Amino acid sequence: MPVYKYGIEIIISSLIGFLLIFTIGLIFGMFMKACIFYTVFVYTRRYSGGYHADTYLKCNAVLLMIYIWVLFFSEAMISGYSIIIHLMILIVYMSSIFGFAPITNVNKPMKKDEINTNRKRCIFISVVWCILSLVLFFVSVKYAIVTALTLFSISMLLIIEKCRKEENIYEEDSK
Amino acid sequence: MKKIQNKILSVIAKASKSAADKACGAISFWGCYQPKEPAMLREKAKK
Repeated sequence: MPVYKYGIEIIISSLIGFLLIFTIGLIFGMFMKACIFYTVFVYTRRYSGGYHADTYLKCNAVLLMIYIWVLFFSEAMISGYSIIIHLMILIVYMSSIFGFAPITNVNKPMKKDEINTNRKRCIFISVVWCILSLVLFFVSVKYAIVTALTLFSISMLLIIEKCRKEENIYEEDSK
Repeated sequence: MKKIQNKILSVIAKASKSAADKACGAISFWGCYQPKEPAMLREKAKK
């Protein structure tokens, strides 16, 4: 019974996130950007982990805020965007992946070998995203920006979660 | 009516079981809030 309850919970939660992203994408006429954002975000976070809010509502709200930020920032950046900025974003992303990934969630404790497997997969998928985004830069800059900003948001979520964990350890030690 | 209801419920049950199995072992499933993973699922995955 708990397995089915758990399955239903993650299906409903994921479905809400999915519908929110694609509805907003359709409303603003940015369906392709929604596809890129959702694929890169979901597939990478599966192996990297990172910050999660403590309720379904807050978590979906954070996802939505990140998505809207990526959509509108990608539009705003398009005129002054260059390969240097692109490479800098990718360097920040890869540094956070090599430095921190994966960061496990308190609700999903992992064994050392599982963490190692996820780390290898995360590095592999990150390299693939970086290569794809560099290819995209020469094919279609606007989609390359969306990919880069999505990767950047994943790295920020990793850093936030790392800081939160460090803070918790520090607070427990000082008690 | 009862037959249709049973069919729908069994499809939902199968989907939720499959989602739970896929989520087990992933650091963060579908990027959203992660509910507490049942210990039973973890034990089953070990076998």
